[in-house]
Amino acid sequence: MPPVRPLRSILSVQTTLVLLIPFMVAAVGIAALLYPTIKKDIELHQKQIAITVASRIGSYLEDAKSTVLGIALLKTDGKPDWHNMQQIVDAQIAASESLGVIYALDTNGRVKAVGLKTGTERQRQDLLELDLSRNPLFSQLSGNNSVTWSDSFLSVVGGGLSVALAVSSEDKLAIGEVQIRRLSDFLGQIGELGNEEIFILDRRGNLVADDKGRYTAQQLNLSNLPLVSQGMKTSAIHTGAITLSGRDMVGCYVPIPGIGWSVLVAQPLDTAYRPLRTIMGGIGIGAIIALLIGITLSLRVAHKLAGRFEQLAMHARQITDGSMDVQWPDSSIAEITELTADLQQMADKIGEREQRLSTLMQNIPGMVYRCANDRDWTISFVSEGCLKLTGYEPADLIQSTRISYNDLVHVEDRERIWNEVQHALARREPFTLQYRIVTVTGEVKTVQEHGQGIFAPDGEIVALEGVITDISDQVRLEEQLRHSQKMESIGQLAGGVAHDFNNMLTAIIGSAEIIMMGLDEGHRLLKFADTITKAASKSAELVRKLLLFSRKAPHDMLPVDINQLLGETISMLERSIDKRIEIVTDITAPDAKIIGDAGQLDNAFLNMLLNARDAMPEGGTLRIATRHCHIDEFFARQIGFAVIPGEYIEVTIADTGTGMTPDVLEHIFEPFFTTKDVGKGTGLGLAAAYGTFKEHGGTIRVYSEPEQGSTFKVFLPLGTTAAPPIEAPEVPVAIPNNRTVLLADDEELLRQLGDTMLREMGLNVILACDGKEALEIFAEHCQEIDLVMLDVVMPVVSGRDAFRMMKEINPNIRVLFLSGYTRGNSVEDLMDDPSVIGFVQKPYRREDLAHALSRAFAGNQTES
Amino acid sequence: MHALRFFWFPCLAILGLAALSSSSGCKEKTPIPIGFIGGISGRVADLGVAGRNGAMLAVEERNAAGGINGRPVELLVHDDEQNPDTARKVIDELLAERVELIIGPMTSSIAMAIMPQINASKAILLSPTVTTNDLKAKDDNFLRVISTTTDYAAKSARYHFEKLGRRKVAAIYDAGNRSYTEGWYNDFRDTFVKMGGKIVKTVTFTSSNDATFLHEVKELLAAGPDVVLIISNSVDSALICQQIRKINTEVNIAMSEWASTERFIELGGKATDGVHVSQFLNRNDDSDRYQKFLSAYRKRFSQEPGFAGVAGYDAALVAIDAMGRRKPNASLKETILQTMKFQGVQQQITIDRFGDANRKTFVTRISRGKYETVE
Repeated sequence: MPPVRPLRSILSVQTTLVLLIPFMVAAVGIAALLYPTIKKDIELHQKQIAITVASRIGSYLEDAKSTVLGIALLKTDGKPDWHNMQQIVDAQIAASESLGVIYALDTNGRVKAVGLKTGTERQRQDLLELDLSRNPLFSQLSGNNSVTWSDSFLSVVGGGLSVALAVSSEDKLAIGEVQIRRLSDFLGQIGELGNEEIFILDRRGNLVADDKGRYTAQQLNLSNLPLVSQGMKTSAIHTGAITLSGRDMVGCYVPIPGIGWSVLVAQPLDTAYRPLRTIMGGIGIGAIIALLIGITLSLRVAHKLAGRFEQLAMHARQITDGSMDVQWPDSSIAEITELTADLQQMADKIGEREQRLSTLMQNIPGMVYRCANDRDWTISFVSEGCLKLTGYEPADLIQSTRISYNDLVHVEDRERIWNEVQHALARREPFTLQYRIVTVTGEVKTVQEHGQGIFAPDGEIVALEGVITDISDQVRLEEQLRHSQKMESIGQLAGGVAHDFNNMLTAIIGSAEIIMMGLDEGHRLLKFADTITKAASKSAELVRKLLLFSRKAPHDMLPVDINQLLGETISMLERSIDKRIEIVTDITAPDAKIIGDAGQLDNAFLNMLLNARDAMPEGGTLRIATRHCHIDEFFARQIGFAVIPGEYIEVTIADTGTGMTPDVLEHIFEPFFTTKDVGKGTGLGLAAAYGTFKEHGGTIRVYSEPEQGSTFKVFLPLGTTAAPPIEAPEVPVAIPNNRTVLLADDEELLRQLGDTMLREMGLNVILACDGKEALEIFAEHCQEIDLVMLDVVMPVVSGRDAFRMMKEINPNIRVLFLSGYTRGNSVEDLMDDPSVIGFVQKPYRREDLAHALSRAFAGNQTES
Repeated sequence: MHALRFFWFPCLAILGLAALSSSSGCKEKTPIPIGFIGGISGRVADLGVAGRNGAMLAVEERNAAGGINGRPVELLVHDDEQNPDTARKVIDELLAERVELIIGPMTSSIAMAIMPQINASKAILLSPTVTTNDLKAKDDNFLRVISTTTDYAAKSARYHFEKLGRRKVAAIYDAGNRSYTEGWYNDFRDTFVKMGGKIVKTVTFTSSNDATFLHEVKELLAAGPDVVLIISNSVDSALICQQIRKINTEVNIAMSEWASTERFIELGGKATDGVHVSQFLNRNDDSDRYQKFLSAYRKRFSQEPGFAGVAGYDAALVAIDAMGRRKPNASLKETILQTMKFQGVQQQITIDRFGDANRKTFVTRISRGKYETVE
């Protein structure tokens, strides 16, 4: 991604470039065209000056040379007259412009005559007879008529810088000192004409004169300058750059013929190229002015544009912050108007999507989240469902502001879910977790979480996302269902056992009674037969309780006032209860009428009260209360499946006794489960009560804490709409003799017992071992058979089926059903059939059977 | 500032253009300035020119080797014209240019003239050739790479008395450079008289472009000395020698080291033969360092360096060395005084805590136009 820069910056750079480039191109073009021309002009000009100066100096020195030459070559015939010579040199020096001193020497180098300028004559006495043989000039002269120039030196006469010219002849030597100072004056005149600097260099490269007189006397050696050393080497004209006293210059070197000197004309670079610099400066100033104007304009444009964009950005930010009602600014720029429209469209779409997303989020049960994969599960986003699920506001959880999500997780589940999530992330699979959370109110909820890791392209985990839902109800219902199913299956089992027991007990009781009937009064075995009968009857009572639990016991459903029933039960209990137990009653429900079996209910409540008493061996408080209660659907689901929403009476029996552990609580309604010592309890009391309340369309709930006591709540549906009880005629009717009874029972013992009892009652008996045989017999002897006694549960063809088929054979058939199950559970639907004249609950005594038969035959007589 | 953030490029462009149109650009690195003051014009400029050339050679060599810590050295040369007034003016100019060290001057009289200015400033004066006793053993801003006149004068006196058996001396000296010449004369006289010698005549003169000496020489010779002692510059000395020889070819001539330049022999001619000159330059030195220096000097200036060239070169070496080794916040004077020992062209120069140097001296005799070291 390229670097992001503000619009103002981009515009300013680009404007600058647009403005600058033409100037730069112009500058480079002008420089390229002008520079060579100017350079050439400079060189030409310098060369002209240098040549002019060289020529002028040449003639200046030539003048001196001719004077000295004239003196040296003066004919003296080998005997110079030094006195005469003195006069000659005096005359010559006076006439010469260039010479400062003229020496006439003998061949040994001793000064014999000295020509001095006016003002310096007093030095003559010192100079005469001077020995100049050690002067380099002397040794340089190679013979007669030779001419040689000296290096520059400081003259002893006047002290000025001079150069000496020596000419030898056969008898003498003439030396003339040329005054260099005069050259500087001359150069000054020329130098004034231009801005060039003019230097005269001697043959060693020493600067002997310059137009400004600045270096003249200092004997500065310039032979180290490349331009000078090159010129000295080749004795030719050279041009080029030099640096003198720290100044960069351009110069021209021209040699002066004869003497070996040279002229150097130089000009500082900045002066030489001033025209070019002036032009470039003009261009530069133009560029600066153009830039200033351009920048001002671009500043305005950029400010305006940036302002508009910033306005758009600000509005876009408002939309980001959730404000959808944004008034976009108007613009006269087509592109910005178009951009505004596009942004508005985008905002609309975003709003629409956000709305959809928001609705979706709200509709999702539970909370949607996004969190980091850390030990705190630090949350970055969480939906509104958070409040309902946890009791915390989303803001409390985001970034763990108030509490971290990990702290909400039940402490026993934290490690497990961490491991499960890490395991799933390692395999890059989604995860489903079930665990408990503790809400802000301390409530423990069971939740289910579906989530997955969000991975960056490089495989790194960026976050976790998912949804967490409350499944507490579901879990509770499942638990209730499971419990209910368990109780149901136990009930069926108990019912089955009870049925078989009843058959056996019927046989035992019946047989015992027959024995007793056959024994004389006072017979010693009569007591044993009575013991059998009593024991069997006690067993029958147990079986009845089992049947109550399995709701297969016979019952008489009549209007019952629970307040009244409870009052009677309590008053009965008060007599036998420990005085340390305080009974507190609040049996004040305004409407306590239900349809129920008062005996069963009484037994059930009594059992519960006795249990409560037993739970308080050291005494305590027993509270019994009733109240009206409305159960809605929600509450109905809470307390159990079988409860139908409606009006109920709630009976509360609470003790302050030993209480129960959850393990005990789970099993208390199961038959034969008891916490009492062996022999003290049957384990059927609460099971029977459970069955009784269920049978009455109600339910029982228990709350208990160890050492705190237990509270039982019984809910029974209110109502008085049950059919009034059919008052059976209690008048015993004599059983007519010689009537024929078809008895069908799959139990051999019962068949035999029945046969014995019926015959003893004076009846003719046909036995059938099952429904099928009974049907066949009935088909064959239907005219002879007055009554059919059918066991309800039989193999091959059940009692019910046999009844229906028999009725097809003879619609006037009369049937008495026998069963170990209750009537309600087996043949209740058939009881309205006119052919069904009764039901005998096993185990039955002879008395029960006689009673049923008498009613059956009584009806028969009435009809007949 | 806010606008500048967005408009840095145009602003830079304007600044760049402004800089381009106003100047030719900036120099690579600011040079380190070293001042030079000496008489480089006039009748006796040979001393000043050679001193300047020596210093210039040292600076050019150092710059060719990369300068001091990457910065070039610039020698700011000023001419005192052997005139105290000019010298004071020149020092003002150099101080205004904020130089920390000035090489020079070449003569004692100029040194005495400018010392008040130097001591009042933070700059130091490092002289190649000033030998006056007037500045000896003083904790001031004056330092030198040469011994005081006492060393030369005493040595010369002893030599003439003991080795050559001279007893009567007639002396002539330049009163224009009294600080040096008179000191020299006094030192010579003290030693010579102490040993038993006698000063038979003393004449002074003031050097000028039109000075004459025949009359003074006659006066000296009239006293009948064994030796004529000349304490003056090379040109004056040469002319005095010539005058002596016009009258007396026998009398011995002795000179101070001031005149011991090549110019003296050129101008003095055969009159210089046999003259004894004191000096610190060992002209017979064939060491590599000296020969290398000689060769470089000749190549650069097409001249002989003479003692002034060597002294100028040595002074510049000391200055550059000190500048190179100076620690932050240390002054140049402290650096030089703490360093003490510096390698010169011919010998190691030892500078004491007063800035005075200890340097060997030689007695030379001119023979056939050449200096020959005799002691």
